Amino acid sequence: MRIIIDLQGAQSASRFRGIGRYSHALALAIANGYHDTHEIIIVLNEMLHETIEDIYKSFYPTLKKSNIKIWKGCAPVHDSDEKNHARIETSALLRESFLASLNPDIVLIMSVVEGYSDNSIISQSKHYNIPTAVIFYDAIPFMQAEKYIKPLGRQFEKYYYNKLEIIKNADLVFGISESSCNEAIEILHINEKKVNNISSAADSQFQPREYSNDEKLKLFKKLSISKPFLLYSGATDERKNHLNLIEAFSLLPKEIKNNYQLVLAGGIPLENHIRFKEKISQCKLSIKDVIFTGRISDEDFIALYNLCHLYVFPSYHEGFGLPALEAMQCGAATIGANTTSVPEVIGREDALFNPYNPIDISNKIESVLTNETFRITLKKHSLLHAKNFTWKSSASKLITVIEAWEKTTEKAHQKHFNTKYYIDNIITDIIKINNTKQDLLTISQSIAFNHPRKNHKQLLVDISELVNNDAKTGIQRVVRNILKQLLINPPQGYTVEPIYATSSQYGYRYAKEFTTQFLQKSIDVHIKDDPIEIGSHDIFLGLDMSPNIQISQAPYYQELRRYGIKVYFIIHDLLPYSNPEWWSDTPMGQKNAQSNFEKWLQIIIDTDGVICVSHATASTFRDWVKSKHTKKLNSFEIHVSHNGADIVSAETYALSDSEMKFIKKIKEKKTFIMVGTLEPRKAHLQTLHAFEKLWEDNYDINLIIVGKQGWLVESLVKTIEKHPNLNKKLFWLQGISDNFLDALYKSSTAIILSSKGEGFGLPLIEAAQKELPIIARDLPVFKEVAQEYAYYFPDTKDAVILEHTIKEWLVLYKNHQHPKSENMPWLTWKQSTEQLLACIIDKKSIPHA
Amino acid sequence: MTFGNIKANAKAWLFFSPTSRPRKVLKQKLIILKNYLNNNPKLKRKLLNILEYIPSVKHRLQRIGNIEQKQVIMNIPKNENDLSLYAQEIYQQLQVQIKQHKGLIK
Repeated sequence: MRIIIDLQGAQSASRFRGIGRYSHALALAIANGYHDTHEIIIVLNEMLHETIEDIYKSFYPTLKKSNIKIWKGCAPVHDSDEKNHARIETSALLRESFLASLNPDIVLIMSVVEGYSDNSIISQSKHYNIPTAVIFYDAIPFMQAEKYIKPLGRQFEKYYYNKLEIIKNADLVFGISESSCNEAIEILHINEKKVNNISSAADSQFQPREYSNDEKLKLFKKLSISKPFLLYSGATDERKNHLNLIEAFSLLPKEIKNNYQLVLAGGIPLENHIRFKEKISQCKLSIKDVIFTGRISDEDFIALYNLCHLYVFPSYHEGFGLPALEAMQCGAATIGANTTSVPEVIGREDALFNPYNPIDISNKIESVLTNETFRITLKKHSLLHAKNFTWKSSASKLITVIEAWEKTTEKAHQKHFNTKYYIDNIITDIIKINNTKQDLLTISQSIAFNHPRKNHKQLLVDISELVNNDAKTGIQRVVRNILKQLLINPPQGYTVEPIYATSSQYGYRYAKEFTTQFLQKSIDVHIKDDPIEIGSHDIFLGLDMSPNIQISQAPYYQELRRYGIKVYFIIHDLLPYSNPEWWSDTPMGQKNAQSNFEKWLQIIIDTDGVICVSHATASTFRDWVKSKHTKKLNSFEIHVSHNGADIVSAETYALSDSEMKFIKKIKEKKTFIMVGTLEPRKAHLQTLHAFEKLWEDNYDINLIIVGKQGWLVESLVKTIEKHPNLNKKLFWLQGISDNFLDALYKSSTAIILSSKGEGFGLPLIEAAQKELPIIARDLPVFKEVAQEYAYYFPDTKDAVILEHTIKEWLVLYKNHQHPKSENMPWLTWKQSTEQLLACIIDKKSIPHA
Repeated sequence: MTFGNIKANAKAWLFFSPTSRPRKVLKQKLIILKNYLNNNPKLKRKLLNILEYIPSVKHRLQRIGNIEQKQVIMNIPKNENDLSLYAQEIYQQLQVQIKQHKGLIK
């Protein structure tokens, strides 16, 4: 069977109350126990999106993401505001149409009375014959309308009775206790054949626990408990019967009363607090006799249940009576009212009292406090009886009833219609509702979302930086190359869609115009960068690194993930985080650079995974995650995919006379070359100092620095410009042609890679392509890429060490024993892109070398 | 400083009126506190546990200094251009049928 669970009860304001916990726990038990035998689909409301991520996580890995479906309405739809009427009606149609399109055998609504003060929508099916089952908690508001309905006004009254109609018209009604089933049958006059008790359970965290003296003292001090105590926990509305309990406590014989305190645990609204204090004073009790804990954590509740002398549950009217079960599950001796569902939960005649009579309550309390054997018997009974209530058993009862119902019910022949059918139908209904123009835009968006076109799966590639402002950095070079490969060779079953965002507008648009230019196609004047259309099987790949935009789009990535789309980012490097001093020379600037980059990292850690361009980068990233404790790495994917490189063109072009002259000059001596923008991390100064020492020792060698002036290198530039060996043994070339650079590579003896930090180290591969020997700093990333094909110098600031390394290398070179780079393995961009796709589609990362 | 100014200033400090300096100062302090908590995950977890009981305060604090606040992050389409091509088609279909329903088009 395809069982669809509407889990808005765990999304709405009820999620902070018992109903929310019940909905969530029962749905989990159904999924855990029956996902193999039935198709279990959880349906969530996007208008309550802040809850979706946690619900996803709670069902992982039992249910796949594809078993959790999300529908969109048109918010706001809280029923307390009459102005929302059109939106409520429209959203109900949107929900119904969405549910029908899932072709369910039955829809189980976990909580019907929802949506008065939030964006929940629970409605009755009008157009499609969708079999419905509901969970019924109690009829307390109906039975005590004067207290619970009338004071809230006509709008609430109308809302509540509408919801009752949904319950009455359901095909199956599941009560949470025998008592609630009786209310459904006797009070709401629901056909008893439709009503079944599936009972309830308490969370498994409520267990007997041992507490040390220190722990006890700490808790008691915090809550001002100074004696053995009687406990009551729960809400404070009148039916909970606090006043009679206080009176019953005051009626205890003085010698007993003096030895105990009454603890009322849980938050209490001010007006009730005042009422309770008045009662305490009327009963001639002191403030120390009755303790109000206020709101406390679950941990403190568990401790109080475990440590109380007696748990008293005097509530007149309950749907189930969960606090009593929680106390019993912790092994507390428990007594309670002999009304509604409480006797079912407590399960012992001699542990019950008449809640309307304080004397009877008092007598029962006294009988336990004065008879230790009875108290111990109750404690043992609590643990034993609580075992009858489990979520597994509730789920089993529910599924058994649904299976039996399916066998005996003649179902209308179900047809699975196409998307157009649902859209046409819903439009026919919606046009009759008086929606505003603004709402019609949202409604169109919601229809498109709820009934997606059957498109190809998309690989959405974020190239925002390239589209908005091509910074032409090394990263953009990588982005261009991978994008080109993705567009030429899209992964099987996917269409590749370059997309971009800005930091001022929510969401992404297709980069149609950019892509047309990128592929050098003729531009169609009608081409438009529309907002992207998404499907749950799409993949988002943050290929470009544009921290500012990506930080601003953080909520959008979460929205994509809520719809089942996998979101990945490529980490090209973490240098702005690990070494902010390379980007700014002021403490404030460094702090800003680091914190901005960290903000970006915080955003990507909340996605599905990252692809690092090297194992070294992945390792730094893991260290960052561990140091911040922000996320467990269990479900977060960390892949590694190396960058590629261009294949060197065999074509050569003629050099100018001056270039030829220069090449001839440097060929006369051993020449070392450094290539790259002059910036602090490249350590040009260290290399220059090493060469100065070599020159002092009469080594007749050249050092060529190729690269434009970058940032924070003013003193380096001055040193070079005033250097006595400039244009003799030291050369600085800026803005040279690729041909000239190629000729320099061919004419040099070795390349020096003294950079103190790199994400990948593309220059290593470029050097290998030119068969140029490499002298590199001993960085993990360089070792990962160049392996044994380079000669390494220790990662130190000391120029003398580098000087010695070069001397050693020259000896090896003389004897042809230096590491040769020509056999260094490297990937083409095509191979690199295939590796990247394997990471995100097949989840295959490259192994560590 | 006039009495009126003093009164207005005092009121601003008492109620942290929007756009007032006290509000900005409070916001800055809270952002500093949030950053501090982000660097002290254990303390953050403890505070979040407490705030779990007062969700309205939790959500308000979450919004303070949030990156989301810096941009117009609204998933509400303002015009047809904010809709995907597919949603635009549905919107047009809706518009035509509404006009037909109202008898504006035959």
